[in-house]
Amino acid sequence: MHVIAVDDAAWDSPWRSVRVGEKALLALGLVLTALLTPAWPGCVLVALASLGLAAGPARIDLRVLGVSIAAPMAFLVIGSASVALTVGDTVPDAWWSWGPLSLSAASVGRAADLFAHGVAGTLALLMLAMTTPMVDVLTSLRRFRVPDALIDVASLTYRLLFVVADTALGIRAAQQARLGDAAPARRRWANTASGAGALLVRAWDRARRLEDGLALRGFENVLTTLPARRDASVRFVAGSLVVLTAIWAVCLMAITSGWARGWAR
Amino acid sequence: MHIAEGFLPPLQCALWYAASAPFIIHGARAVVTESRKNPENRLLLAAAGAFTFVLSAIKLPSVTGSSSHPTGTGLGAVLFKPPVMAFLSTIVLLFQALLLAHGGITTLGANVFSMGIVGPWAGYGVWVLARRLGASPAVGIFGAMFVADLSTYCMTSVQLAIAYPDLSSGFVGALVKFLGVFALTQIPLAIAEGLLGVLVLRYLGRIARPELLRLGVTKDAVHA
Repeated sequence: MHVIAVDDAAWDSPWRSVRVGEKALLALGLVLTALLTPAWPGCVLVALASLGLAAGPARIDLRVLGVSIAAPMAFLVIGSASVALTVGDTVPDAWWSWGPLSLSAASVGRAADLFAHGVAGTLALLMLAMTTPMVDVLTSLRRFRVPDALIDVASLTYRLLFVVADTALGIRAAQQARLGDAAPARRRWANTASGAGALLVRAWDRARRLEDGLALRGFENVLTTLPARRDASVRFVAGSLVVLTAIWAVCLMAITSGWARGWAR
Repeated sequence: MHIAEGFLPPLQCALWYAASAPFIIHGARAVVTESRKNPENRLLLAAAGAFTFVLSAIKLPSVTGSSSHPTGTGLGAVLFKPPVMAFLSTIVLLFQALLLAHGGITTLGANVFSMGIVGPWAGYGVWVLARRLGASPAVGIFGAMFVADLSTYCMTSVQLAIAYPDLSSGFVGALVKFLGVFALTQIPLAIAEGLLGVLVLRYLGRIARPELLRLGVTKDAVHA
């Protein structure tokens, strides 16, 4: 399952041993750079840096990365295409027009910029997602004094996610084994609904059993777990700052010398 | 479909975070209060969050032969109430961003506003109105899920139109474009989600009546 593939990649990543804050500095730094710099060269450099780091030191499987980016790409293509299309009076420099719809250099350029910002931002985010298990992210939230009850609900949601997803796959496999997909449309709808209903009931049942188990072990208040001790890596932080500074330096040079393309936001 | 990472300008990302914050804080306070009162409810809320995440991945059978996914926020709002859904949706959207790359961190505020606030509140409003007018639970849940689904995508269209007004016709033209792409095409899926809600509520009424009574979804048996 796709969700497990991303999580598996995060658990297997050699960057698992790096502190969450240090990885967040790099990934969120790249996301903000993708957001704030011009598409050329800013977003292109962010995308290249993300891919280079993913394929290199982070050792992320590029096939998993490719599958993971497919869904956001669908949104980026549809959203950018909508921006490219102009509605209303035909603009003077239109390349193509049909009734109230038209395409122009300005609208297509704006859509291309937007697409570049989206792809670069998504790649940078995926680098964080595929090197940092969710449990590490949630544990690190305790440092920011997020109330324990909220972290507990989020942590338990994460743990139950896989149980519920596994149950959903089991229900689906059982329905398929009983030729549920070959049934008439009305029956298939009933199957989908009974599957969703059964999933909710089983999720509740699992939650109750987990609660009983935790209560028997004395976990009645805060479900604190011991965080893995990770040493600060000056090398990682310095490398991250070098990458970010280099991208910003090239962007500033491009803006001042006039060869930057796309808007800086 | 959530707004992807990098798609909104930074200032608007910040504004949508600010707009969502009071609802998320309100929901978080409700969750903290509930957890202190009944610690076992943490597990039930977590189960609800996991269910919402997985429900959004269930494929709906479609008359055209293709498939799509429900948002699940209408059912969640009716079962767990909108304030809790605002918080649970934030968790679900964060997980979707970091586990599936659906949505993003900078666009989280905007996505929470459409899917975790507007959708659940609109859906829950329809549910309450329908029940007060004496409509059956089937009509109520259909309306709630239809409106929650559609209003989520309408809000997404508004957010995109604010961010990228049309070069020729401005905000209105952009809204027409985005509504056409994201909301108009969503109507059959919203109807499908409404029908799914009717069948799920009927199923729950048959096998999980005590839970529905405890959640205050119905005061009597559900005959959807």
